[in-house]
Amino acid sequence: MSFGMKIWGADGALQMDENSFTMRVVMSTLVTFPAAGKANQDFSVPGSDATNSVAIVIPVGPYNEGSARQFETEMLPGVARVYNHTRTFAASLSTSGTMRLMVIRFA
Amino acid sequence: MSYGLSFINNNDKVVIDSEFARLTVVCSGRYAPTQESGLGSTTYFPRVITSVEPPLVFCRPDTGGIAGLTAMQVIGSAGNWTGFYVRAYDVNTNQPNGRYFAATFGAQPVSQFGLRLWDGTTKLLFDSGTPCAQFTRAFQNWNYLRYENSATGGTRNFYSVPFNFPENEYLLINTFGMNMLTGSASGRLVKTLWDFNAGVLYAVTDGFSNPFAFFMPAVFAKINV
Repeated sequence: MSFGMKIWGADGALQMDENSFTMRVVMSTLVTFPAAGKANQDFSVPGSDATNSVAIVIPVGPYNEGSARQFETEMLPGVARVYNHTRTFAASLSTSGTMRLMVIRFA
Repeated sequence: MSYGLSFINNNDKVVIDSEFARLTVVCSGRYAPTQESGLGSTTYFPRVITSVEPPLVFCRPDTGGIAGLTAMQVIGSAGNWTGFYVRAYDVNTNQPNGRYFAATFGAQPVSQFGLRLWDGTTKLLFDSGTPCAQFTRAFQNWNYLRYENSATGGTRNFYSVPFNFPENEYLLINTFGMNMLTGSASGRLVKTLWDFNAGVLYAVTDGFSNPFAFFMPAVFAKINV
């Protein structure tokens, strides 16, 4: 390595060097669909698109396995879109509740 | 950024700076069967994770045979995450044995030496004791491969992404928990299936009125260089 930075942990393992890629969170927010009618919500994430970021939704904590249903995401240019149904599938049911949206940028 | 530290890698990407939180590894270890006749696994973190958001948990099942994970739940509450639960794919696959790491955006002050970095609002962004997870690959969606009928009359759809099972790459599994929607109220189970024999990593959905449409990103990361 001719320049840059390396970081080792207490166990001696090299944690990071000049070839490392990290992930940063460019958005972390709660998303609520108050009612189960089919809907989607847009969240502005400037600079993010499908080539450099992913949008994920995760449960905000423990959930009821029998009744809870996931939202779904779509990463668009500058926008993370969250659906409470399965897009492109007309027969999809829809859901309500709150999940956490995270947009992770990796490039 | 007007002050602080910025670390740029050989691809001219900012790896660490004093502006944005990176995904950092708060703890790591192994998960193993603890309940449900060896199908279920509860793992308690060696230290409580104090982030508001649930930690992102990445898993790497032990190599060999066919492994799978589903029904993932993070245990605890905001500011006090204590562990996670995960279940094997089914009775015909490996029991839940493997390695995991739990990560949050932002660091925890655990190290006695090294580097510590805060942002302009005094949020701790980096600590040598909670290293940054290393991004390896991500996919917006899984690719549909095939389906089969399940014994209960539902359908099981198989999807995959390009993955060659490096020992040090872990898959984000928080999304492999809560059921996804279908045309039926019972929804569809979402599972990962690691077929080490065939060298294929699957996402599998299982339910009634189960669409081929499946929108879930795949995110992979590793702990060390």
